Amino acid sequence: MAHFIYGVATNTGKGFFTAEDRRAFFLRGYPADVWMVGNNVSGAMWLAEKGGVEKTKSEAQALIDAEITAAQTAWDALSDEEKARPGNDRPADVILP
Amino acid sequence: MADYADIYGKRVKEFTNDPTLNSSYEGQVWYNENSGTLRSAVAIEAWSSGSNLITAKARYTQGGVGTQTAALAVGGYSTGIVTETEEYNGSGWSAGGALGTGRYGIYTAGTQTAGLAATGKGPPGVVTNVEEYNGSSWSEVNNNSTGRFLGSSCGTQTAGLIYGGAGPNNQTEEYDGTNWTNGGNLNTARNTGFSSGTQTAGLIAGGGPGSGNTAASEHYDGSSWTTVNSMNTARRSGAPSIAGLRTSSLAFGGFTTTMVTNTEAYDGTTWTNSPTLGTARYGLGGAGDSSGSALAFGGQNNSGTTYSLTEEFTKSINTITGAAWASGGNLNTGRYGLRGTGTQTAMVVAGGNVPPNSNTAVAEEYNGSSWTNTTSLPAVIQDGNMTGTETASIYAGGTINPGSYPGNTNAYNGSSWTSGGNMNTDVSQYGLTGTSTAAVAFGGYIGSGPGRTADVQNYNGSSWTANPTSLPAVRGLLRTAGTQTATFMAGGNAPPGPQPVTSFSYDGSSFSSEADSIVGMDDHGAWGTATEAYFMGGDQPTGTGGTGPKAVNNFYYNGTSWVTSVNMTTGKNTFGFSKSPNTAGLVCGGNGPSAHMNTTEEFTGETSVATAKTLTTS
Repeated sequence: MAHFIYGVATNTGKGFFTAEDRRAFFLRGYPADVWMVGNNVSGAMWLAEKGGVEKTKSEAQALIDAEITAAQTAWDALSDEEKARPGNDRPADVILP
Repeated sequence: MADYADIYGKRVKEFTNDPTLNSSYEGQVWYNENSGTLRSAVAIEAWSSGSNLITAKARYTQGGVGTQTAALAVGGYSTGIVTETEEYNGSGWSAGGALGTGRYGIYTAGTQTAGLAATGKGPPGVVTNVEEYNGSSWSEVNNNSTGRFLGSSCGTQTAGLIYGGAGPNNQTEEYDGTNWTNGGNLNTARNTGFSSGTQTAGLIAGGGPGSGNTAASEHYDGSSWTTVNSMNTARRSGAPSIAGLRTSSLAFGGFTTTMVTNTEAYDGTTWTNSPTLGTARYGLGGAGDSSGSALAFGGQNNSGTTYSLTEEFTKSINTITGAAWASGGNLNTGRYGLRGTGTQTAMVVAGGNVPPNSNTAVAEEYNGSSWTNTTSLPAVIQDGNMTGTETASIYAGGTINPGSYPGNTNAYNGSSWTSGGNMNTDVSQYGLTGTSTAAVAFGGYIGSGPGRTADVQNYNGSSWTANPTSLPAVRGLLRTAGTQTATFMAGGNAPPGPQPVTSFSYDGSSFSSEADSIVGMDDHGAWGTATEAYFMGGDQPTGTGGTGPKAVNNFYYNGTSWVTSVNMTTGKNTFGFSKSPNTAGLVCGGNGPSAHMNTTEEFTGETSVATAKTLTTS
């Protein structure tokens, strides 16, 4: 059994995930509204209840790659002055663990 | 029908309301006049999540030492053999002294301040090195006789016992604090059995070899082993409450034909199934001093993924609720570079950077569930700082993209903004504590010359003045917690060096060096007081032990030392955060999965409440 499931769901704000959810299963948010969810009953139920669309790990990674590539392209178009602003580093690649 | 008093020899006490509960009430029954019910304090057993091992040190086949609130994780295997020791204080892990000889399958015993680590498998193969821990560092002592690994151990630094191991091995050795002598052989040779007890009253249960697990249990009396009642589930490579007596012991996790969550309690005679671990795993570490108090950490799953997960097992009349993050209401305007002040249920944020790449003056208030736009700042700006409360705060400094530093101050009264004095040194990305009428600013980015400053500035509600003292180091992007006269600060940057791990306290007139943070960080969040603060997210460089940019990791400072805390759900930097004077806070917006996030996460610390139950006939 895979350790994680992956899905796409929009964070709707308060109640999207609760403290009880966080205690019940692993949850980590990524670009492109991708969520890595602990593969247990609570995690699977949470993704379903949030209207999440389950993805394979490679599908989820492709969505993240597309989002990061777009962000990197936008950053590359900034002026040198804007790029040098503290905290404004070029978006780094994100690899699902 | 017999009376309660006839059966138990005691009368049921009558109270107007439930008494103030403590452990002495466990198992007691009383009558609550107001509710008209029989009540009792019933002990509940459960595993709850604890703070992760320091992430880069996720490991398995490590040694466990000590109790649930004072434990060690020793050595083990991660991507290679581990030398590091980590210390657990009941709420989080921090770095301890490193082993002289890194190894896994190590035999451990003792306490957090008097630990023992013997034999195990190191880079050159099986070693006989033995080391003793004094609470901060390991020292080499006399070797044991037979090098081995993946066995069992119990006892103390001056009366230790090691037994079994890969092979499988049936040998026992006793340690008196100086010398090793041979003890009686196990009846069933085995590796990775569960162990607890003392040198003269030891326990082993379960274990391998890999071709078939055993459930057999044995007692040691100081000279020989005797077979006793078996465990319910044969398995190997789990972990025990290693510091407990064998008459009150817990065995958890392990491997049957797959990783398992099984937990069993032993009372010296009988094994009883207990609540299961949250995460199945084997090769995990264990600590604890009874069948009602244990700690599980690290381990791996069937596919070899190594864990940093920690779980605490507690039997108590207290209902313990672990710290956790939960989603809050979304900002109306997604952005990064925003700043905020106030608490988790009464907060204001202002300014920031909005798509595609410009500044905003938008301000929003949070009521604990949703954000509402309020009067905007008089200027579009980002990366200034705020302090005070939702209804009496200031926003000072900041930068107008891409490089102007106006140094203005604007005061907010909960509905409108009025201008205050200009900063003495115009900064952005600096630290700020205090109130709207008594604040202090630390360091920051000045956009010219060295780029960062060590200046300290005071605000009195109308004007800024230079403080005669300076930060011990030039620093921008640092974060602070506390008040104008009792501030704690950590993280920041001062290129070209990496984000420093040094931290400082400030008493209103001078600085003192404090404990190094576990990782370097900048562009992060922080709240709390000078003696109890959380620092989370931001950029935590791998070179300092961190996980990299836009981290999820959260750390707790207790006034003396740092430990890991529960991670955020989404990694981010340049976000807004509350300036709560307690454990409950929030983070919002920032640059993470998207460059201009609108999401909020709320953090609630661990709580422990004694709870009475109503007795019913069903």
